[in-house]
Amino acid sequence: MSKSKINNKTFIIISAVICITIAALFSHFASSSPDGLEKVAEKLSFEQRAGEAIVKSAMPDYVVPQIQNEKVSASTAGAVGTIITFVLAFGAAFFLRKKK
Amino acid sequence: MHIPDGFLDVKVWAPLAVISGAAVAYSAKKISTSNDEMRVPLTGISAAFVFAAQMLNFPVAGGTSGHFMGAFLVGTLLGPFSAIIVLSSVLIVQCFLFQDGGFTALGANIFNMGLMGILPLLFIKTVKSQSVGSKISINTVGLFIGAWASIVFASIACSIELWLSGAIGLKQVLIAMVGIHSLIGIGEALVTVTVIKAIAHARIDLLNMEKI
Repeated sequence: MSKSKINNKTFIIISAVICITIAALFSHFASSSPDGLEKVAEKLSFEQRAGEAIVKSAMPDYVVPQIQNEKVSASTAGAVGTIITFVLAFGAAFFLRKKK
Repeated sequence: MHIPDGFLDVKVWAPLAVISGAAVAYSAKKISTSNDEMRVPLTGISAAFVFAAQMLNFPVAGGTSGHFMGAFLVGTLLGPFSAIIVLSSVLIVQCFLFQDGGFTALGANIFNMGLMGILPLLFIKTVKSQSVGSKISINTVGLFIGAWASIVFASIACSIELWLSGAIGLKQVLIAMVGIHSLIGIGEALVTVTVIKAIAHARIDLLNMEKI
């Protein structure tokens, strides 16, 4: 009855590959229309409230400005962002975990 | 639903920064009590997944797009405090590296997408098991409704913040925001159900982790 299950390591590796694939490849097919809040701001005319971003980011709008090729630039930004987010959350959980 | 700098007044974003900061600190304390071997890697993977999935804007009605939020999914898998840590990690990276969501609005964005996102967990039990090791059942309808509600709750909070900031009338912004996010919430629900079903298929035992 009980089928053989994938082990912890395999589960994590497969999940990581899926995440990178989504961010680096599937993201090319994402809609570029404004999101819900942007659209509402536009429609109700309070979009002009948006000021200059206070923190200047390295990869604004999910592209690497230094990379000319649009697709490569977006894929790189997606992959880098996914890895950094993983490291940040993993690191937080790792350093906070109960010390044995 | 990432609020940029400028949308919110200081009297709105400053208190929300304090509330979210306190929520993150409390969540950090809570997750430190966990002893699950898989919690640390799954926290990292959950954050990576939420970041990646949030890039996939899908079209909804009238030239508008929506994207996955993830708090309810992570809350279902790992628990509410882990979800706060995960969503905060994602929002911090998006704000500082990708200019997605303003620095002054970071607290508000954590409040809306993190705290509001886990709120439906209070009302809906999505994973049931008698005891550790026993059969686990998934409440698919509950998952769907909870994920949908997480987006709607976030949009309500966002509307109130915009109103309190003097950006727009309450009724006007509520109707517009809740209207469009009721549609986006269907996308959230479909992704949430799909991912939980996939995890259940691969490793149903992971759904039985302590919810912290």
